[in-house]
Amino acid sequence: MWTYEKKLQYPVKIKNPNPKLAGLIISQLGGPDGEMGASMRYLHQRYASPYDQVTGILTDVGTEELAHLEMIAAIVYQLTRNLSPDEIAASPFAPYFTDHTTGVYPIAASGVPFDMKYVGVKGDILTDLNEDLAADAAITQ
Amino acid sequence: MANRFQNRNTRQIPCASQAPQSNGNLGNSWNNGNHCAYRRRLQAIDFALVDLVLYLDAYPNSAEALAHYHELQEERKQLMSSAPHDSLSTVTSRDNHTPNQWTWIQGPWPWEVDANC
Repeated sequence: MWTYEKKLQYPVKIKNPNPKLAGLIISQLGGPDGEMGASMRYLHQRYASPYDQVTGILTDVGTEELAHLEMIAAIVYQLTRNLSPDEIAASPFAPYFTDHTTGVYPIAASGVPFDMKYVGVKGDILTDLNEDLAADAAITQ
Repeated sequence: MANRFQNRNTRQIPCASQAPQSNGNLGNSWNNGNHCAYRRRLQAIDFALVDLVLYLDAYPNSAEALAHYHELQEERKQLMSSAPHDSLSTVTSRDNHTPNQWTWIQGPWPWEVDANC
């Protein structure tokens, strides 16, 4: 089960709001290579793992990805504070704002909400680990 | 209308603007209520612990990693026992140590600027 610790894994302190940047960073939250996908991937693959080390890693990395999810959400939250309607309307953030105002919604910069189709869980640990390698490589590209 | 999109990070925290000591040595500054130093030290220890946990998951028989893990556990225990007992030190909902106050839900929340220093 999960315990929530009331602190970010690493501090987030944004000095200046920036809606344009928020519109890009949101992909790290709910995009195809974002933390939402990463956490769901590892946490769901662990059930079919026959090896303790792998189950441990998938559980602990999946949990850490949830912490990353929170940090990205904190970034978006701080980037979109104290905005005037003009600042929002003039930025690429305007369409997101129409649907979510300054709420934090897991979505890609392209406007596609997070989709579990980005995640593969096949019940075979080698297949799943290969999917993890591909997902990780996508991030470093 | 201009106020409508303001986020709720206007809560006053007495020492949110205090920076940790510039020489990098935090000493026991959390004892005198320096929340920033305390929280940063806890975040640093926990970050190192997460890394060690992942390493030990893959290499459970590493004596060196286990020793390091236990050192950090001890340091964390000491930090928690000397921490200020208020909302900023209540890390989990099981840690409410103030008998007459439910500090768990007191702001600031981790995603707010005031909780990060």
